[in-house]
Amino acid sequence: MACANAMARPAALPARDRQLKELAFGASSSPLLKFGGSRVRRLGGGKLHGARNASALPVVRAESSTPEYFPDAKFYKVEAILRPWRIPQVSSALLKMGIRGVTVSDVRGFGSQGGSTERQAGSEFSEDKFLAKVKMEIVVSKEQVEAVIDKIIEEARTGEIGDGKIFLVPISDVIRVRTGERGDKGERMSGGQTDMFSTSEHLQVVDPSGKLYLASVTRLNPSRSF
Amino acid sequence: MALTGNHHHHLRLSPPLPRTLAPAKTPRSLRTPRLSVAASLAAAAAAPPAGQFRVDVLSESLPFIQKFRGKTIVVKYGGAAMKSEALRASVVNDLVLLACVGLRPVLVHGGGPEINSWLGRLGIEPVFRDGLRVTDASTMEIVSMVLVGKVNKHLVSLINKAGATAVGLSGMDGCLLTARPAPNAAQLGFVGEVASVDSSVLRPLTDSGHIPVIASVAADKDGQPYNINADTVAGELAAALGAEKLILLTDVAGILRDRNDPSSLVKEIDIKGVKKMIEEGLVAGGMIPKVNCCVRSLAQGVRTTSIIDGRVPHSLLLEIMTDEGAGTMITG
Repeated sequence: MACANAMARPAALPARDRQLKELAFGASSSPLLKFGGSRVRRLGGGKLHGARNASALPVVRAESSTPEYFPDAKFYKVEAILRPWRIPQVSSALLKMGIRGVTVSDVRGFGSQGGSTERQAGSEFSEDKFLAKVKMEIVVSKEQVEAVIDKIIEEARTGEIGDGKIFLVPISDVIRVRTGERGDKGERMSGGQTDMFSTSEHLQVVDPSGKLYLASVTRLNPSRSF
Repeated sequence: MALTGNHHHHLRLSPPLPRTLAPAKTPRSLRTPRLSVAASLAAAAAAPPAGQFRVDVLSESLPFIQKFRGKTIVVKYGGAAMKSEALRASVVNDLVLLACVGLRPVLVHGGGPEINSWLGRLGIEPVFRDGLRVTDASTMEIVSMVLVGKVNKHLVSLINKAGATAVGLSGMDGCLLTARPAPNAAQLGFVGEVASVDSSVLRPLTDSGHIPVIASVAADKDGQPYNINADTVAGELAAALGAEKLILLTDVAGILRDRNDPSSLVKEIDIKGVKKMIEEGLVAGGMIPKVNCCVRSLAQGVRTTSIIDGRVPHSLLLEIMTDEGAGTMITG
């Protein structure tokens, strides 16, 4: 059985074990596997109907590596409270990685600094003084959460007291006002990650109940054919 | 002086421009054919080149002037730039130029060598602990007098002489700075940290085109004067003013990746990178407090901070008006 390491979204890079997906090629025509509670991925060259295909199409089993959050949901809101002047940097970095929907609001706050003071505009502020911050709210699907959190931290961190905090909130549903779309369709934005990182490989996959899905596959090793 | 096509590379601007420069372009007057004698042609050829060079330089600094117009630039002045007459004059000229083109420079200074010489004159023995001076009450009196009364006013009059108008302030004036004892004040005496900044006194000054010159002496809530490190004062003032740039003039070329190799100057680095360099031990002892002061400023919203070589004439202009800069720029 040949194994290849592949990552569905190359931009979500950090070499965290949970994000590595292992694809196992096998000659057996075992049925498609469900993983992560939501999407079904099966990679093969061409159309696949059911799983009893006796052709030499390799069967690819993708191992789940989406992180575990409690409570579990399809979508999560990343709520980041940050310094106001770091926001342009953070939002342009998020745009570059394909996150297209962000809400910001002006808030005030203080955090526990263990007795040390936070400096703002040259002056020191002790624990009970409210300082101006900006809250950034981003709703993304489960797989994108870690990448978004990492990117926010990378762009906003200065190392000084007052850098802020990020909260992760599960979201029951996402609905688009203009069209009424809910769920995945409601969350998906044009020009976003799915569009940015899809390749020419578009495969039709079928889940055990017979539903047909269109899966996009990122080819990492061009010489290999699926 | 090297004349290259791209004036952004190491341009030394010194006030009197030599008139014997090879022309970069054919002067306009010579392109149109003239029925004049060879002698007058030769005379016409000698005059335009110097003027041409000047206008080339001016027009190439336009994008920088546009970028920084109306923005506040805090300059901390110290080290060799303070001791040498020529360097002092070049810093003052640069400040006046910046003020004239529409930037808002603010100068912060420490005391340097003056304090020691006056302590000597008054017969006060300086006390040192672990290599750092102890500022007891009588030393603090002298520090306050020398910094605010002598050094500050001397700088103000130099700037006035150069054509701009300067106003000299200390931390006490307008409650600009409020001090608190530094963590090591128990051993080192009246050494302070910046507790708060109220920059409202500076606003009318900069609006009306004056250049504030700030001495790094401030009082605490009870009126006790403290001597505060001038780098710290510059950094916190830059944060309070929402400055575009903080520039620290030092006696070294900037942050060098390899201490012994001057060409390993780090031109631009971000907070993460510079903290890594400190961890790796690449940043020398005396540079660490300056870098920390820069990081503190950047965390509070100052756009860029630079540590530049004050021994180079017109280092301020090089840093602000060229891509090359004159030292290390630390960005957020």
